[in-house]
Amino acid sequence: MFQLDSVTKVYPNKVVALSGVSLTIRRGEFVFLVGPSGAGKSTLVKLLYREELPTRGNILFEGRSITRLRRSQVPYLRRRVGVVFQDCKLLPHKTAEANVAFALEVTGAGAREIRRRVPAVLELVGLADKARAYPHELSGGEQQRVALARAIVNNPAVVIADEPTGNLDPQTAWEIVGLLEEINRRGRTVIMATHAKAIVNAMNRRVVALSRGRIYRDDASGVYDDGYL
Amino acid sequence: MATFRSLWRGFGEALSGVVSNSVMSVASISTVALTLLVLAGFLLAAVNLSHVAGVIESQIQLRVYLDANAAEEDVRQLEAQIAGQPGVVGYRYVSKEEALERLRGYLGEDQDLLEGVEELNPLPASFEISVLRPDLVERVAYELQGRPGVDKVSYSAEVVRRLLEVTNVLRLGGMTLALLLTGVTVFLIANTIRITVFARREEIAIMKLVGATDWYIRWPFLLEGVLLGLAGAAVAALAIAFTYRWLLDMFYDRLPFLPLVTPQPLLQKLSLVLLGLGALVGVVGSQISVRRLLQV
Repeated sequence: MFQLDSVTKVYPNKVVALSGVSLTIRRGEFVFLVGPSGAGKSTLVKLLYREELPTRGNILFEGRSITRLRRSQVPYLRRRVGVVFQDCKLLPHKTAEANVAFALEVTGAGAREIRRRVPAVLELVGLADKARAYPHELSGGEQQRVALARAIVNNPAVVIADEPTGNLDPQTAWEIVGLLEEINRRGRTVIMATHAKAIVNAMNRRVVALSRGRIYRDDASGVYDDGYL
Repeated sequence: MATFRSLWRGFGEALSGVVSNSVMSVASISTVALTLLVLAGFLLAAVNLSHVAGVIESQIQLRVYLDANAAEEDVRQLEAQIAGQPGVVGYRYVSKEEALERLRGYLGEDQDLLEGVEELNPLPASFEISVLRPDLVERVAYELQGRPGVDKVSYSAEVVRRLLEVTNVLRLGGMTLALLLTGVTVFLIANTIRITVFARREEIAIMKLVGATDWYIRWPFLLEGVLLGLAGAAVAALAIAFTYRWLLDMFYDRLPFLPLVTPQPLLQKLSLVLLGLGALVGVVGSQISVRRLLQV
């Protein structure tokens, strides 16, 4: 699904966020990206949905280079990659269902398709009864569920979550991870950057640990290891 | 692709953009209107001046003044020569008496200026000559210059040239001023739309994340710019139409012989030009403010 080949990212302010990272993520995998702040997790995530371009190295998505992707092709990549953030990034003046529908509208989906798919994904994330609520009327966990619904409504091949549980209490965090697991079970690749040690340890999934811009460990069924700090 | 729905979405958002920062919108519309008014004013002046120049050109083009002591034989020969010049389409003999009569006509109420002069009549007799094309005037003048009985040859080419010079200056000045003002206009429109862009920056960031194409994002802003430009152009077109008709009425009263250009179809064409320019300015202004937003 994703193939990174000795990817280096140096920001204009000379900060080296990633250096020589090579990584392969296969279709259907559930991968945790762990590491302390500044290890390069966010940068890696941004490279995957082409918010940033690598300074050196190449990234393949579904066999095609996304570093050489033409600008006009980027929107079509984004429709194959659902993204979720710590701060949800919902539009405050739109209801939950309108926020989800928005992602379909921009792809030019028809009204009938929107009416069919939005309730379905809201049902999946367990928010069918709050479809008409505005973000400020929802709890943090509920907001994140809306964000998840929006990320999957376009039926992407992969869902990338950057610290999706960062603002949530442990109970709610587990619910979100449970949803990501469900999404993964339905055949989508899930990549989750996180600090949540308890979750990583309990899930027993692949763990890619980053430290100072390099891959420190890559275990098929790993735990969150503080040893590299 | 549900393109039509996207277009409609653009209209709604463009209108709400114009309305929600009304102060800047009004400022933009006013500058567009002002710019186009200046441009239109200069254009109308130039069009009229070249029209006047053309009319003068087509009237008497050449006048040969006769020597006061010219022999009748010389005058008859001169007449034959005038008739024989290639390009001459008509000529007429104006006697001393007729010349005086005309002067009297021009002077109108100031007849007393002629007192004492009338018996002497210092005005020379002349031939008025019409030539086929303005560019032949100088050649014919050259041919007749210095013939026996000829005192002086004068032609309106000089006046025409002056008029055309003024027209050119007007055109150039108008264009320069309009160009400068266009810069200001584009800048103001770009700024107005930048406010909308800024208000929607989160929405735009999310649009990009979920895979909206550049055109999908750009379209409402483009429309907003065009709306501003067209509104300004409409104001300018209306203002110039009223002003021009008013000016024409004034000139008809005071200077009825001045051959000015009638309002139709001139104003209609001008309005179309203004609307086109307004829309163009709107497009350019909006694209400037959106371009930076779409980088990355």
